[in-house]
Amino acid sequence: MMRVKNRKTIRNLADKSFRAAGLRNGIAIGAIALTAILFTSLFTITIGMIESFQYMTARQSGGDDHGVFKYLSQTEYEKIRTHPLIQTITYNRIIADSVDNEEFLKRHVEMYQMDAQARKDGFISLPEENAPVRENDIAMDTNSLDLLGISHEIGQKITLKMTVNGEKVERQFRLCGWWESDPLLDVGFGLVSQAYCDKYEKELTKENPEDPVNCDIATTGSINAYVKFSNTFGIQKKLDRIIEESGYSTDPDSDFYISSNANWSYLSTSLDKDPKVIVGIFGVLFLIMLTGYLIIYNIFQISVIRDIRFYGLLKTIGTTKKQIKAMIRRQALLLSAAGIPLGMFFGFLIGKGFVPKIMAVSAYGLEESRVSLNPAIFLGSALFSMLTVFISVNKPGKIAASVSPVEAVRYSEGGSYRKRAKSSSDGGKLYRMAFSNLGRNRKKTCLVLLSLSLSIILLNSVYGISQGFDMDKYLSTFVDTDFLIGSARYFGMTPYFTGAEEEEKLSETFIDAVNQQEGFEEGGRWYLDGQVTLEDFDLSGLKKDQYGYQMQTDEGISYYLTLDEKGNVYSELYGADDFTLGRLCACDFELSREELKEKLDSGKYILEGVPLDDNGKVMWDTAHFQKGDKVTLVHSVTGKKHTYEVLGHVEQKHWTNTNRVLNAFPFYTSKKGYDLIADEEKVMSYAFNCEEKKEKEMASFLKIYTEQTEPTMDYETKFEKEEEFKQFQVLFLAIGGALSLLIGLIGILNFVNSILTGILTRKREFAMLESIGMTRRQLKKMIVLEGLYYSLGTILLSLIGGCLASYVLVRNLLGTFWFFRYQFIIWPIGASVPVMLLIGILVPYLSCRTLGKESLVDRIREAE
Amino acid sequence: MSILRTEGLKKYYGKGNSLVKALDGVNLTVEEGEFVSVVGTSGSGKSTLLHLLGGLDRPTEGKVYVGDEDIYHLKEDELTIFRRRKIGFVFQSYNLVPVLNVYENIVLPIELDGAKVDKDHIMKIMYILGLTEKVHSLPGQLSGGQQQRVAIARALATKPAILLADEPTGNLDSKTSQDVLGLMKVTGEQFGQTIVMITHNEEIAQMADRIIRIEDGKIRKDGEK
Repeated sequence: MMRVKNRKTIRNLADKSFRAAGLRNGIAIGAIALTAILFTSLFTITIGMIESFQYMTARQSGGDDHGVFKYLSQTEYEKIRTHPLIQTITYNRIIADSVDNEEFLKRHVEMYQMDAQARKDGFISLPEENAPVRENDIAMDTNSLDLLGISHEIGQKITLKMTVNGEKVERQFRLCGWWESDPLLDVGFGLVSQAYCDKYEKELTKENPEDPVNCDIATTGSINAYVKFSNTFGIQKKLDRIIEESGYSTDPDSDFYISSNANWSYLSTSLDKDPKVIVGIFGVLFLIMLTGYLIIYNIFQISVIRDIRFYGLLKTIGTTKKQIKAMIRRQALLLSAAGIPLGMFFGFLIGKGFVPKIMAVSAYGLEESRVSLNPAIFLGSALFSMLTVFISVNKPGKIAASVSPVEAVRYSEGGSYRKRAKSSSDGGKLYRMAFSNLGRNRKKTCLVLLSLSLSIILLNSVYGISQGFDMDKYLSTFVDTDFLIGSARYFGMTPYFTGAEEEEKLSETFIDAVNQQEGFEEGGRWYLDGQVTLEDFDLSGLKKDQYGYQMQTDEGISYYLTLDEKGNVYSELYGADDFTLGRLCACDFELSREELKEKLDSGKYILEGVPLDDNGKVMWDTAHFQKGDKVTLVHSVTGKKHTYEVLGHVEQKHWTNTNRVLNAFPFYTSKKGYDLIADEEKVMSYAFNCEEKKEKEMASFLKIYTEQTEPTMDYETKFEKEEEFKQFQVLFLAIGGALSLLIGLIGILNFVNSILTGILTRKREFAMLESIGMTRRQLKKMIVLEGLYYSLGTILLSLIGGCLASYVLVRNLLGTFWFFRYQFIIWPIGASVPVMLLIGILVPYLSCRTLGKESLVDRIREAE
Repeated sequence: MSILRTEGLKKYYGKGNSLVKALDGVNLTVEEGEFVSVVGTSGSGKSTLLHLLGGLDRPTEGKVYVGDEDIYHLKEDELTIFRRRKIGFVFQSYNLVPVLNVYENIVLPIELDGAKVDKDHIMKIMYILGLTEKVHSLPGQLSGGQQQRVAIARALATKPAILLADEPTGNLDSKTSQDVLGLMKVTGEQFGQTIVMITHNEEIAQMADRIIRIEDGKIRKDGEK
């Protein structure tokens, strides 16, 4: 091939014709910018989410360190800290087993001595000059101070009751500093000085016989050292290497064992490693590319076809294919240079705005977010945008490059018409002619019809699904009554209730206060005695290992049975007041509330609880007894014993009538039946209903009461769950709607392209039609009819597709989802009919303007 | 009686130095039933004259009468309607609608007018033009000569008073040209139509009753053969 210095000429030509296409350029820059916006916001959101997520987990896990060496002695610490792999290391000495002040019942406080590095890594923003120095200095987080009712002032006296290596002590401190509590942590910290440790060194180094070397329970007096490495790869391996190279062992049985852990925020299924998220991100990337492709492709194709004669001319005078393609690519490059930076700017702003919103409704429920100006965001979106632009202009470039000079003049779409003869005789009627015109480029017609219908079908399905989410089904899982009150322990992060400890119980004063509230309707208590055991339960046939007997359900849930010294199995005995008894759902018997109460009150009968699966079906295989079986319950403390007959089974609902721990042997009875064996009233919770109008007042009363009067109490409300549900529904509708809109936009763009290129390439044909007597009105009517056929086709296709999607996809795929109730919904398609008709008329009508004012003769002459 | 008459017909393009006088004061009268050919070199203004005669363009100055009607007094759409009723066009490129078959192409102007199709008349035209067997064919399936015959049939379908032909044989070989022209002449006589044809081919021009020579936008010679 000859090498010719023609690059400059081509560039010149490209730039000249570029300038001539002002409107096209404006629209194309807009489209490219839109693509870049979509890419940039996607990248910003993704990277922002990953960063926020890592930051959050780091804070929740107490630090952004990479790993920790646990329970070190001073000598061990000194040896390890000098290891060359370690970049930073912290010093956190555990000062107390627990802090026992009543105020910290709901939110615990841990006592440490920390060096500056430890404070920094633990997100403790305590000014250096306020760090504890004297032996009675203490620094605390603001929430803990508030709980104690101590003002944020240096010099305040603080008295703490602590357990140190098993011994209860009470100490006076002086507040030397404080820092803002991290809302993500439900634990507070108290920091003391080196001087304090020196003074109480004996107490801290005392052997603690109850604490075998290394379990998860902090060993008071020992040191936790959090370390960071240069990177996050192979954290556990590095930790092990350090232990071994420092002369210690990673073998738990060894005398020189040192325990270590990698930080779980770098290990666990964090966002960036979740396959679902990755697939999702690639899916969205693809969708954006497709959107961008279709928009940019359409714009370039229209402009190429409009200028097809120009390209034909260039070919005539000897421009090669390659050169024409280069011209078009150069134009695309110029447009990208303007569009992409613009898009990236706005995309970043949009993405940054969205991250906190998405984080707030995401499963992680995180409220804080951070989005950094990560260069990957801009590099990635610029790359993807460029890629999209070049893929998009490829085909129009080919069209322009491969047009023959002669054909250019007569270029019209769909060169190959059907070969079959057409036996009709009234094809000249406008509506017939318009219909025939749709068949010119069938591929394009189908594409337009499909993309328009797809968006409507999707919208219809999304709406159908969102309406199918059944709030009652959802709520019935979580709530049974308008309100449920109990102790903070019962509702806590790791909820439990055995009735053995005083602070687990719901106070009668709280119940009284609630009963006196305006709007209160009816309520009842749940009692639970977790110290009741089941006598003579047949253990043969159960798997037994070092931890004890193991039970397994058909669903694969396995759990260990707890036995007391007599070999009886620990079970739970629930007692119900009249109201709560009435809320029990019978599985295999039918009795009125009164009849049931009478039977249970007699002490002869008892009910066995069976849990429900996600779909609300009873899991029968977890039942241990049949109707009529005899069970003997023995109280493990008092030794009281009673034999009951199993009257039947009731639904055991995790969130409403259990202690929220997986129960092996739950039994339900009335208050009287309960009293026969339970040793005292252990009130687990109190469920009650309230007048609808007063619900808000009741909720705010509960909030204030549990914050101020009895902070160890807590509550749950029905309408908070309702809000949760509605938020989910709205989010689903918003995302689905946005997706439909995007596909709809693509469809409309294809439609515009189809109509516009149809007009541009038929210019000459239209001129001829005019010359033989078709008026402009008739011409417009024909073009509008073509558009209307698209609309009608879309509506028809959407109706068929929408019904199919609803019946086949939605019903079968989501029908089994636990809070979904299938409904056949088709009206959104009906609602889109006027919109479709309007688009079908408006697009061709406006496109007719491109027919322009060129005189008939000029248009005819183009051909001559 | 004159069916077609122009008065001082002028058509200028551009302004100032680039002013082109495509037609510069043409006075012409065509009698009913006449077959006139207009000859001239390219750029002489002959196509412009034809376009103005047919109401496809608007003159810079002067008037065109079809019968007694001053056609440039009509509004755009009125002119189109007038054209489809009174004038038939035949172009060098046949300009058929690709999605319609032969019959549909021929009756298109009648359909556009919303008038009833005189089937006998159409069949007669098709018979004369030898298109009877091609009724259901699509334009893409026809040869050039056949396509031009369809175009002529279309021009005759509305029984127009005047048939205007712009290089009707420009894309055809000489044998086919003779055939097509012969047919045009026959149908013209048969239906009593006035024909104005543009050509640069002397031999073709000789088939007309009268030859008008045009140069630089002016009539240089007008007369019987």
